[in-house]
Amino acid sequence: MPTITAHNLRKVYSVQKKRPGLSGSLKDLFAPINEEKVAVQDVSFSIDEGELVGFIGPNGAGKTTTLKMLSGLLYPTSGEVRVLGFDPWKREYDFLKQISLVMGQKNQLWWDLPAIESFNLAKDIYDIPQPVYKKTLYDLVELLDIGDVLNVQVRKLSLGQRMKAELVAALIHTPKILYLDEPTIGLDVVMQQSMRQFLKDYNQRGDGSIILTSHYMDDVKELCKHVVIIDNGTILFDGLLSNIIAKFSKHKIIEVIGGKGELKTHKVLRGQVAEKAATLLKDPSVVDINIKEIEIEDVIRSIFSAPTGPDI
Amino acid sequence: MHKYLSIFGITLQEIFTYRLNMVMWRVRQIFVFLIPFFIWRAVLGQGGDIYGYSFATIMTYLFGTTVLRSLVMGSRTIDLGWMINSGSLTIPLMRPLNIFSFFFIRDLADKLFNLTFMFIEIPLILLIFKPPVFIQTNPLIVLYATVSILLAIIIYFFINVIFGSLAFWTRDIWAPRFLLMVIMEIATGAMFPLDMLPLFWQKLIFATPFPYLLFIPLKIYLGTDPQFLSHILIALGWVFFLGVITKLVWRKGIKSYEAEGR
Amino acid sequence: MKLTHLKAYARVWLKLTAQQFESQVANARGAAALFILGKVFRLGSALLLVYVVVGKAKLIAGYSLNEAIFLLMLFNLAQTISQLFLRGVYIFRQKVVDGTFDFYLLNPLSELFYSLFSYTDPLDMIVTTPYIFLVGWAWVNAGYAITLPLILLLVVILIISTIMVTAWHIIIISIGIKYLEVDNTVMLYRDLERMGAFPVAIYGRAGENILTYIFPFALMSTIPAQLIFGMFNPWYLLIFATLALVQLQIALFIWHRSLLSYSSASS
Repeated sequence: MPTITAHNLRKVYSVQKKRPGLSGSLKDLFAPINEEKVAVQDVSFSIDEGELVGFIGPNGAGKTTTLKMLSGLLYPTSGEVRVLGFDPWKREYDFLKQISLVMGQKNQLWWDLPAIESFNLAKDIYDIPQPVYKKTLYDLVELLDIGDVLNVQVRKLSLGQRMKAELVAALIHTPKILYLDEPTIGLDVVMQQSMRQFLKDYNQRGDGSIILTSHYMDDVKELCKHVVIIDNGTILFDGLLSNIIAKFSKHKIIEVIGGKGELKTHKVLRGQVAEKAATLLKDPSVVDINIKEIEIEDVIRSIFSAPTGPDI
Repeated sequence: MHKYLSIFGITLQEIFTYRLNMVMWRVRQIFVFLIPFFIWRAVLGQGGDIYGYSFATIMTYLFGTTVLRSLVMGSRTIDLGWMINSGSLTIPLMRPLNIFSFFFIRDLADKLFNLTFMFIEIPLILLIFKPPVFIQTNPLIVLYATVSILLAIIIYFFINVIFGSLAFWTRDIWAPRFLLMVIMEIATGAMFPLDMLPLFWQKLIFATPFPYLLFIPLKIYLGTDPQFLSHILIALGWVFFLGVITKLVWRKGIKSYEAEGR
Repeated sequence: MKLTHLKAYARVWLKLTAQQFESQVANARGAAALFILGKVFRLGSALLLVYVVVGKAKLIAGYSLNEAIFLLMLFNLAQTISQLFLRGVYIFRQKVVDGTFDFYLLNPLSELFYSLFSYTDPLDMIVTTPYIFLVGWAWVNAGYAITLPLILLLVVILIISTIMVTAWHIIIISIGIKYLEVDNTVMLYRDLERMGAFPVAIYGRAGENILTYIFPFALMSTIPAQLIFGMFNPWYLLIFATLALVQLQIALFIWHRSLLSYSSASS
């Protein structure tokens, strides 16, 4: 029995088109033009219990919109979605008790109070029995190592500590489904790593599902077995990460920067990267060299642009 | 000059963008007229007078303050406090224009917007409520009234800048603003003529600049102010006094604003 | 399960209010003083208006000066109490724009609870006590006896009017969700509310009916005053109670409709 199923989900917004200039403003005032913006066209998928799924795609692809429909924030224009047997839009108490949403940098902790106060309040809101609460709190605090900042006002915490406290708040009621919207955005490399590690560990310990959206390929590579690629509101790929990696990670990109700042790009098979780099560096006019993974945007572009199958 | 015209145009655009906001604002202005109207009608509708005002003359007064309010009290400089707190004051500060002119032009745009709507609302008010309207025919008096109104506009501008500048030193600007609004409701004479008040209160209120915003200009226009010349001079005095304070407060405030490096 | 929910609502509300108080004491002592001053001034100027106008005219819509003052005090108290709990409206727009509203939606407790009740100002609660005394004073001053049954009926009226006021605030934030416009709407509501400070009969038949049956403003002052003056049959309160519940239902319906087109802070 899949935990989450979505059938032909669609979300359309009506957006007013603004015309420039003063006369445009006046026209907008009396004769507004409304445009239909399709955020999610037609999306269907299913997710099983305990999975760690990544929705990836470029900005504006519709992944956040889809996530918000899965959590009950947005009402689908058409289509059906079922999470844990509930219709998320109804936002029933028993449904909300079992899910959690973490949104990038947005805080749900109280700014002026110590984090522990927000946790204690969550206990009341989610009806968590005292012994369960104590144990869960202890486990999470240990796992995230924030025991010494529990009594510090949230506003005084560093970004990393705050994010950890947010995670505790999100997980204190042991939700069956954890939604994360762009969890690593704005974090430095070290924090991104620890976030990923935490999510991986957490997923392995329990039987909850984790659904995240990201436009960083690294998030997905580290965490997800099951990957859904979305672009322009439609699903381009829904399956195992290992399949994509097998298909697309054959190459890496080597960028070579010359003395006058000019840039040359080379696409090189993985196994030959070191060799090719060494060769390129022998050229005295080369000032700098960058070795990169292929951008997620290129991966996606290749998925739907190549008729015989992607070939990067 | 051209840049000020652009600021004028852009401010109008800003106002138009929020249609519902605009409509609500205008509806509210009608209410400021309505409530006193009903009160006075209940009290004076059958005849008689209070402190020398009959229903007809009080209607004229009310109508007058309603029109004047668009002209004098239309202002965007109220945003100043928020702009300072959020740091967005930096943007116009960095532009090659006089910051006071910037705010003043925006005020003028707001006044124009309000006046334009008044042209729609005045016929409606006249039609439904039929207040006796007094058209001043003496050109000299019209001149004095215009001067008085101009001074009122400047005084209100300075008051707004001073109150907005409080934000340089404190995050909480709503509380003093609230107090100011409550005081001005009475002290400007918007709801009822100030000469209805007991003498003690009149003296108190006339020690402030507020009566010079609505009450005095209107009385001068109606030709019922025997001391109009001295009142105009006092208003001028307020302009200078408030102008000096504005400059001082601003200068101090800007120093602390820049020191915070926002 | 419902009982523990109530406990949760109560504790959350207490915490939120305590936090407000804490931050006011810590950050804005001066501001709090100014606010109180402002409120006192506002009541004072309304009183001044009543004295100036009604004092000279001796009568307004058939009510004497002291009766009009009593009406004003009732209005003041009802207005303070209803605003006391519903201050969340004033920061609602900000909460939608910065994304906090999304968290309200996903919190197991009702998002209406957070949107409306989460900004209670303890200052308002402190100010309510002297206002109650003012009502008592004005009651006696108007020449009527204070009896227990009358007090109980006043409390009933207060409850009914608070339900209506809540319904209207729900409608206001429904508009806010759709058009991101709350502040002017609320101020418009307050402008209308101010009409209740005077006997609603002065607004003509149409005005009176609107303020009595559509809006709760007559219920806040004119009707309880009439009750005390012996001009109002308490059984009519049953009609108003029904009306209040109907208005609440309608408001909730409108609220759910508005959420359908909610587009969330960032997508």
